[in-house]
Amino acid sequence: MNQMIVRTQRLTKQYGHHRAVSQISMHVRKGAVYGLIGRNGAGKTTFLKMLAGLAYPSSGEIELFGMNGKKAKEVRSRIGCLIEAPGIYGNLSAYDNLDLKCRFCGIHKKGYIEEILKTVGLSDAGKKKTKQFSLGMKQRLGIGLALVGEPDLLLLDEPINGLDPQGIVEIRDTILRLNQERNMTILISSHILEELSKIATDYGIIHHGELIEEITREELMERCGERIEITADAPEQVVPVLDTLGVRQYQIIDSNHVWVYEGIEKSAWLNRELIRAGTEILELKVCSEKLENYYLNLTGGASHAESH
Amino acid sequence: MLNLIKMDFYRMLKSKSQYILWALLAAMLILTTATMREEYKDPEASAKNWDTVQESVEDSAENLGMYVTVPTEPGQKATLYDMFYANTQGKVEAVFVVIFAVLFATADIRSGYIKNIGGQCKRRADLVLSKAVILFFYTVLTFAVTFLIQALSNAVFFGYLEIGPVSDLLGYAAVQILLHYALALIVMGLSIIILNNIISMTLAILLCMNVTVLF
Repeated sequence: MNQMIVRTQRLTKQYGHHRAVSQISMHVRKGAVYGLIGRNGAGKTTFLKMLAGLAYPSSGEIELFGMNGKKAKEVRSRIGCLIEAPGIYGNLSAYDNLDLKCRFCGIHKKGYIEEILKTVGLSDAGKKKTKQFSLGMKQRLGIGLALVGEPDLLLLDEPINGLDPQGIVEIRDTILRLNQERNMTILISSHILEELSKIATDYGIIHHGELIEEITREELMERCGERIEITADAPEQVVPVLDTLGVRQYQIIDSNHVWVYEGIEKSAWLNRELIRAGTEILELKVCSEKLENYYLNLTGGASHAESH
Repeated sequence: MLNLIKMDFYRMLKSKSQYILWALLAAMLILTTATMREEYKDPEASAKNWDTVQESVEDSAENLGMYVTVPTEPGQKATLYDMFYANTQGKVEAVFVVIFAVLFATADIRSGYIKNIGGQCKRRADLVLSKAVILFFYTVLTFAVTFLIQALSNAVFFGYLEIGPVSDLLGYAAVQILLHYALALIVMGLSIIILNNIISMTLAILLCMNVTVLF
């Protein structure tokens, strides 16, 4: 069974009459990239602030690395976070900003700061003051600050907001590298679903402060029904060919359609083999319900949702 | 806690405002010394200053605003103690200490840097205590700068450097450092609560000018 790095029990945050986070019980596996999805104002940032120790819960429990209550405070040094806009001193350079955090963490290792700058792609920043940085550079420095102290858990609150496509790719690559090379558990919130779908292994969907769904990527793919849709004059001609090719997961939908649920990446090969076998194929396409549509259907924004 | 203090100390050293304020303090001390030298040379003005100093000691309610008066008895040499006393009574150091207190205490909150470290502090109070420790260092360093500049100014403008009674000077300086530090702590607390540098600085300077006696 996978070890849970983060576990919350009915976590709630109330600001006066407004309930920003309501009874969230969630789990983050070790080594996962957990995508927290929700629209603006859904409660993602408030939730992450509570995990990071920047806000106190109104009720509920947080368990971090198997510790809860007061003991959870002891392990917060194992968490790095980038919440909302990066918190950096504009009059200092990237190096100095990182140096401050290193002093706070008691890190004096030679070359450590240079290593972090290299990891986030800011080696060439030099002595430039951070107030002159672009948004992408500031975001990267924010991630760099979160990485000081070799955290086991990284909390990233909408790290790609406001970035250009180049910046988004760079941040995505950095996140994937950290997860794969350092086995870092990453909890990343975003409302850009397309981007999240490229990196997340688990998803939590927040709506109006409540966690309405928590699923793995595999479960999501199943539910989103990724498949090869074959349209043929006579599906009974298609089935024997599929059997010969060793395809086992398929379904005859109706008199013209057969859906195949395996080997999605080999759709071109399947098409070639079916034609070679003399089957009359009218159409062959890979279909799925996009994460975006799945989310919209789940949260009731169905007026904009389409199925593909 | 110690790491937090080390971080804040480094932040103080890297802070431009510290050096700018010290430069302004030096300019102020040079200006007041040059001005007081002119009064000192004039026997009438010197006697009037001496009377003013005697009155202000008796009636503290009139100690409103910033007014630097050389307390040297007419005919005596103006000592470092006299000049230091005059500038301190005129709240010269106080103004710069409180301005720095406002800027330093709120820099991490206003920049958002506190988000990088706040969650990892076992006690939130440590964040404030650390700043309090650094403000003590700053107050002591500010007075060290004051002594240095004042000594140089005395030598340049008066042509001599008389220290005055050393034990009295050190005792007075120690008390003033503590009083200024207390003021800095009050201002730090106010500025963290108010989180508006302009309002905080205005209140701080009004406190230095003893405006509260009006109420």
